[in-house]
Amino acid sequence: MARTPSQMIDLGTEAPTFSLPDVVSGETISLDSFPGARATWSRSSATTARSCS
Amino acid sequence: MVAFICNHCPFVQLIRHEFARYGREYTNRGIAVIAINSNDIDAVPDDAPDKMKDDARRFGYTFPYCLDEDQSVAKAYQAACTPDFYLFDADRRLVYRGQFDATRPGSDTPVTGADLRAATDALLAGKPVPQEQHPSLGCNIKWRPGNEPDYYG
Repeated sequence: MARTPSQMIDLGTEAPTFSLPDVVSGETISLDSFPGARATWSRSSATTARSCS
Repeated sequence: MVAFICNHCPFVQLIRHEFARYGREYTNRGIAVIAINSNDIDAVPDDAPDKMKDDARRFGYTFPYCLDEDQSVAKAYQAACTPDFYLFDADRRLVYRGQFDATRPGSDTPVTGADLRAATDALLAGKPVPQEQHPSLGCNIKWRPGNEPDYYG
């Protein structure tokens, strides 16, 4: 194990998008943005898709 | 709030109870909390999905705990260690990155999540997020052989 520090990328950087499986729920989690909303991710599954807003 | 964590690393184990509490509190206050494990699970079987599920239940993770199997998300965020934290505003702009708090394994500093909490509280209050930010320190992300990013090592 190497003790490793954060890269400390620039503040203001836009969040890179992703789509990854949540191993707990089995849902796919993706980063998304909704104007005026604090929540910045959405969950979807194979059969349904809904957005948090 | 995107956190790169895993199961096996002592730096994560030190804060995971308190991080779970952060997750519960700030999810209720409107923050989307996501934990991501990007480690090579072939090299670290303790970080495999069934073990991730165990940890999520055991420690009360109420947020998604995602597997970044090809490590592309860690690279996109330039995540280097576990734990490593990134807080974005509603416009998806980075307002905080670095440590949960100043605790490290073997130190006497209490685990509070003070740094991340202060940044999140400021964000929620519409105030400037403190600019004094400190890097997290942890186990390096366990890159798959040949998949190490430029910033590794």
